[in-house]
Amino acid sequence: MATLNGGSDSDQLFGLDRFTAVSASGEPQLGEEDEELAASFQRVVLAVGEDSREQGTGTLYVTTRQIIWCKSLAGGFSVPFDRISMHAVSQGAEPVKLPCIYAQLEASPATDDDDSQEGPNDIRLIPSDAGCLQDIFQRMCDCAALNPDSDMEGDAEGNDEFYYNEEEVLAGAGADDRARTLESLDSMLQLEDGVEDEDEMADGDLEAHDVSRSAMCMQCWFIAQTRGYKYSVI
Amino acid sequence: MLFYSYFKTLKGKEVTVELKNDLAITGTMHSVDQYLNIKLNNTRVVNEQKYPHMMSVRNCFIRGSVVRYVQLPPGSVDTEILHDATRREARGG
Repeated sequence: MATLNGGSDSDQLFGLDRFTAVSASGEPQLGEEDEELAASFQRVVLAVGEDSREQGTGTLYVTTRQIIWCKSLAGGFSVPFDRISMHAVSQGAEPVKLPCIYAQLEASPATDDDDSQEGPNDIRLIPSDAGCLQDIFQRMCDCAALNPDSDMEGDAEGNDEFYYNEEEVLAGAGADDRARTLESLDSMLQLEDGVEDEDEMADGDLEAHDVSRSAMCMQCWFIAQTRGYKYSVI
Repeated sequence: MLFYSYFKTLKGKEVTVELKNDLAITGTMHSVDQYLNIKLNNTRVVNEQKYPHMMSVRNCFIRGSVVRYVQLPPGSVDTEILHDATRREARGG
């Protein structure tokens, strides 16, 4: 399986993109969309895959959009933050015994239907100076936070009205309004279990805070659904 | 913003974050941001045999959009806090 990913003519290497936009001075040329260099770290070894095949020693650039690893004027690899599922400080374990940044990448959308890669796309960034690990980690955290998924933008505002009628929640809705609201929420929920409970709520013996609570549950549920999250209590 | 507000109250508490790729990481909630990116300290992987390379990871940053579940410590699920958070959100605060 792993051998399929190492071909030099491939545009992808374990979720990394080939990066060739290097200036004559060896600096990566950044994109135009307000991309800025946040930090760079020299003498960093890139290793890819579960067996951590080393790609050589290069320079790691953390920008506001992506991380770029260049080993020469010929370029190297890059991956945008929105494809870095997680990154972590590893204190060194098989197969890489040195302290490193470990990251799991999502496959590029262009290779989503390519099932030749199984399992996570693991990469490791091994700085010769282990003392800068925390700095790399923190820079990556900071810049990752600048790159939310596009479909999550605006979530912090604008959706509230859809789920709440603020006055109803605070003052207590009339029976008709409650029934209508619950009916519409029911239709969104398509409850299989607990339908009777929702009907009872619609019968109208609720306190205002119960309406508030049910609205909260509805919103929790809906946010969870739209984001593909689920939350559970252990 | 409700989850963000609520998760902020879990700072310092132990949670288990399960990623959409099935990797589950237990750790101390260090921070969470509005996109529900989660930083964990003192991490350990639930299934260490399957993910031996994760055993040496002590802190990590998990992108919010790859989270499938967040398992909460039962003692930290304070319905009153959730309730208040809901009211504040309803007021637009």
